[in-house]
Amino acid sequence: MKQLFSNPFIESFAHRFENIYQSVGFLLPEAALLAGIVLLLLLAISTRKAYGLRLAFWAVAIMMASLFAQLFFLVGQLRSLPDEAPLYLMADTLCVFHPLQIQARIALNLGALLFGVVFLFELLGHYRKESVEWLFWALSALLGLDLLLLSAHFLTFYMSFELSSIATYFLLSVGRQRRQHEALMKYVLFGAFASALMLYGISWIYGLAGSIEFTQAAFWQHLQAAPSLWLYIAWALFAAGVFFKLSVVPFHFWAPDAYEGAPAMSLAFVSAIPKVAILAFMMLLNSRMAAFAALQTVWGQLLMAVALASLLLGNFIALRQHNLKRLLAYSTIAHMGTLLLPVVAAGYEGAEEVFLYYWAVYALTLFVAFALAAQQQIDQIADLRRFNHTTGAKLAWGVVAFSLAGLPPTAGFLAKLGVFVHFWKMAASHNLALLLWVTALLSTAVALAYYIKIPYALFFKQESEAGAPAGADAALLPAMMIALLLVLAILWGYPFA
Amino acid sequence: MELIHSLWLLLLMPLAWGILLLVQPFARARVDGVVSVVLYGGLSMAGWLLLRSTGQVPGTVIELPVHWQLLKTYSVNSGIYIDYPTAWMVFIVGLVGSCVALYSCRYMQEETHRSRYFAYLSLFVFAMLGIVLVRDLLLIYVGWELVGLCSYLLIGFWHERSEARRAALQAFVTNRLGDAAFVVGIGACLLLTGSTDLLQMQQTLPWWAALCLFGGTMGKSAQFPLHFWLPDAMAGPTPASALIHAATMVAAGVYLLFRLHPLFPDSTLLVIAGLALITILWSALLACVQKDMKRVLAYSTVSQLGYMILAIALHNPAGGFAHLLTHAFFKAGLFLSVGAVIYYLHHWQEKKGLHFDAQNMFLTGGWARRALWLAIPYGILAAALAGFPLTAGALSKENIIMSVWASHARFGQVAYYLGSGAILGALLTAFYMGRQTGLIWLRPAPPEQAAAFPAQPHATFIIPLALLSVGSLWFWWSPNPMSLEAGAIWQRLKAPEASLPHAIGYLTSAGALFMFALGAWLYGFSPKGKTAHNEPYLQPLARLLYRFCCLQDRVIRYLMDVAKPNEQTESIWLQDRLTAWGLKLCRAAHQFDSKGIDRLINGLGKITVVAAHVIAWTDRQIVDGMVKAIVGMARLAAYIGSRLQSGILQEYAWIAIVALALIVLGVAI
Amino acid sequence: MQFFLGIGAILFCIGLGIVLTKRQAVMWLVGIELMLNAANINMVVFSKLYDPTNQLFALFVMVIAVAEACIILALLLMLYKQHKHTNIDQLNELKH
Repeated sequence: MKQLFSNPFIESFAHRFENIYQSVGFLLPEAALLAGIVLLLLLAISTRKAYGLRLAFWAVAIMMASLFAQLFFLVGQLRSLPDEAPLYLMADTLCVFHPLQIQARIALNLGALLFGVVFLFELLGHYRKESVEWLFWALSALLGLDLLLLSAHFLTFYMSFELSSIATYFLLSVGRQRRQHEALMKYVLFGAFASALMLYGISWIYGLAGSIEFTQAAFWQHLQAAPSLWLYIAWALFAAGVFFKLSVVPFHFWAPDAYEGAPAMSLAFVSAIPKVAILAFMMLLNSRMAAFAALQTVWGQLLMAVALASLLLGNFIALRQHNLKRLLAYSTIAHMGTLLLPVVAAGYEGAEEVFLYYWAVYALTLFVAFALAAQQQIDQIADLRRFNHTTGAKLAWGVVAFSLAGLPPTAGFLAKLGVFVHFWKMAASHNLALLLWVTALLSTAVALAYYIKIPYALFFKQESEAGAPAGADAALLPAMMIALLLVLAILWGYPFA
Repeated sequence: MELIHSLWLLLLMPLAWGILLLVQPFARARVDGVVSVVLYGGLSMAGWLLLRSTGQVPGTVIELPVHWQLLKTYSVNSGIYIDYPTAWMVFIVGLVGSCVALYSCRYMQEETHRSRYFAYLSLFVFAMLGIVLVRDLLLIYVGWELVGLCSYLLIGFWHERSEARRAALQAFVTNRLGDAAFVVGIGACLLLTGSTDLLQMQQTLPWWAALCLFGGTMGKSAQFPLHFWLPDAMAGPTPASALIHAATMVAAGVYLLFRLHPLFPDSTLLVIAGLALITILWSALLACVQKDMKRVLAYSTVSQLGYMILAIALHNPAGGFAHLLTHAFFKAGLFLSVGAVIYYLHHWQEKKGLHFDAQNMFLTGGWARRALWLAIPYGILAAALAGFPLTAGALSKENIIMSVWASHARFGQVAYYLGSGAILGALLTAFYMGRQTGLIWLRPAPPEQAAAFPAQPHATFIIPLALLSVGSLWFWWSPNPMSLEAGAIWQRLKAPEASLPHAIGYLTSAGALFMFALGAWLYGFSPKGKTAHNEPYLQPLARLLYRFCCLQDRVIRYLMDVAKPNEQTESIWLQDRLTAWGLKLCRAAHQFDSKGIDRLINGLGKITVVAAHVIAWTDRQIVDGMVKAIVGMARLAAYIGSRLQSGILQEYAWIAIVALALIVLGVAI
Repeated sequence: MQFFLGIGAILFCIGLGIVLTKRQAVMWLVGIELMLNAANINMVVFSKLYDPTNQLFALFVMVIAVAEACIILALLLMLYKQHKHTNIDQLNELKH
């Protein structure tokens, strides 16, 4: 207690304030988001009338405005980054030290913008009562993920992690689906369980490293010197929370069940957007770890084991699925396995580009899939064979299946090619990595067997098996535009060349 | 914008037309068919012009380079590249495409989804041109997948039939198996040579990379052991089979090998040649016992593709490529003429309300009398396939056989075995074509079909058939009817210097004539006292023996007649030389013939039927079964995996914790 | 110090045990709270050792724990309304 009010503490506090004051400029993107969130909240509570369509459009407008403001600031930050050794300390617990941080935040922002656009069209087709709520939680989750990328300290990491988790819990609770309670219960309880494991892991990491500022070299030095078994346990417990967010094996169980019960529009957000932040965060951790070979080996092995299991499990179980959403859930698990490849090989040149491109293609494809799935009745989603679509939507589904499977002529092919070519650099000199590389390649072939089910069900089904026709396909237009983009993208080649 | 840039239209127009048809089907008008015919006709004209301009001076190429930066360190030349073989391929795709489109105008007239059919056809043409017009393996692979997709859609076109759906899926999956190897091969090229450009890769590849690349050919060209999808693919519409599964798509594998074989080591080429020979003989044997007229042609396609691959593998690309071209003509034509038979039978059947398999050769006959206008082109085309003199097929196939024979200079003694096998295959080919000719055209129609039913000639049938059968005559290909060496293809494609043993070619021709006659006689003409339709259904060997015994029966009767002592005839000379012992033998033989023969025939017939079944069984169980086993294992893994997802949250937590502990243990150890 | 770390570890194990064995969703919440508190104890102990400001971590964790408890309890209410029970081993309609 005495120490708490002693002079040096106050001084350090003053110093921190000074620091915060100086770095407020760097937090403008977050300020823009926060303003959007507050405005949405005000909008929601200031109307006594039942939510109207006009209100929903206002909400979308606010969201878009704050996202555009954020994008503007982020692009400014990216431009002002010097080429060599970019390191900005913003506050003790938040910092920018790597271009990937800003790139991933831009990716988050663009993903959310896309969500907004698809949502707008979706709104035109089916007016939803809960739209303001929906956007509010989406923006909150975005803020959490954004701060997660900036965090330089386990406290900010944990806080932003929980902010995004809680926001996604609510995001999945919006709407009224059969069995939604069960799905939500599993998601929330499993999430809380994983985050408790993670927190306990963090507390031990603190004990072993003597610090929780993981941007400091001292943190890693102490960690490397720690007794190895304790370190493994602490680190594995910490990884549990991360794996939960990524929905990779063995913390993938929530995904299929939660996906089946949740509304498609929420899934478009939850299945794609948080992943980029978490994966980029892992790559940043890797880059901090680069100087400590022993740590990196252990972390790399852990990730490779998890990636291997996810690729196998996701692809094989997906073979048995008829429910579209469950299929997409297992496909997500498998894709996360693939996305771990550039994370593992983060030390090799070009990993960030490969990773961001793969994620972008994957996210776009999932947006198309869920925007189209949102038009279907529940019994149609439950059985692929009962799908009923216009020709345009069928073509878009075809593009989705090809892109997810990684077949030309879609961007999915380029993305897979980039990942495999990049990972080969590591696989050529590392046995476990070679095994992973081969597994990833072979499981791509397995994946085709279930992705082909989608176009097969759409083009070759018996007429009598078709369910009731879908409602007005308002989201079809953006979905088809994105699908076209996915096909045209292959003409540009790899965009980072 | 120069005139040469209009070459992009070759690719763009079929694509645009295909997409237009998909999005906006034409309900009533026959627009789709007519526009397709004009479009593909234009393509073949363009191909002809390209052939003129690349064929004048050897080594001429037309190129529109476009550099596509695919990865940071890897760019792909994705422009158009046309040399002499490419020009030929464009011409063939356009010509056969227009023939098939014209033919389909009638054949597919009553389909509700006719526009979709033409759309798939058009997309296929686009994808096929995409394969031949580029010079980079990666782009070839893109086209490769697209033709696979179009083939999948066309095989499954009548998707209300379960066997069509199954065949479509089987074709697609089998092709993927080959393509997986192909992708690995492309990756190996990239890693080993740093390029996937066909013209930039110079060094010889290691054997495993070469075999992987050949995997693509194996899938697409239906080579042993991935051959079984092609006969099943006959569930699609016949004109589509003519274009895709006879003339062009399946030839894409051969075209790929044609481009790649200079990079392959000799040992791998020998293995490929061995596989090709197995394919030739295996599928030729199977073709001899088929009942379905389209399946005979499908097995024959597999076998002929084997010839092309055999030739290219033994460093005779000119012969292989020439056979690809001539085969495109006569095989597409054969499909179209057989398709016409099916078309008329089907209509007659519908009118009468009968239900029998219209494609079963044993349930029809007499078509030469019923539709001579159809029989003449079929005759020419079948002769070309069987390798009769004066036909294009004879030129190219005998060239292959002779070059295989001559390749002993490079490959040693094994060339003779390969050559003998190839000759045997050619004889079998002639035999099963004779058999089909006998069954469909020569033997009398079954009684219920005997009453004439209409098979009026249609221009939409006659024109394509006439074009293709005239194209199957020798003078287009080589002025010398006995050798391809006088022809332009041989001279342009820089054939090896070795002199060819022409005697082998003449012998093969003669053998083919004999075998064709044998097949036609066995199946087209019945012995006295039997009609075509009360003769037992027999496999070739048993039927041969049966016929032989029938002949022998007559000889013995004759001998018995002359041996009767009370009838003095002019053959007293014979009687003098027939001792009592000889007389006894004849009697015994006669006894044996009249009593034991039936049993013998039945027994032998059973043996050949069993043999055919064994072959079919191995085909189905072992070859197909390996695929099935892999699929079964995947299913099992999926089942076990999905049991983990029990739906109970607590079990999830348990598994997660235990798995985490295991991972920690694994990493710690 | 070992004593408090030991208490933390025991608390964590009890929490984990509850989560892994109890059928009631409420008990699951209790288990998670125990696990969070185990982490808090560790945090406080280590803060005393290294840097006292990091004790703040425990405060933040408590806030988060409350937020999570709110969500889970609200969810439990809804679940009870619909299913008339809150046994998680009977919630297995979504599976495989």
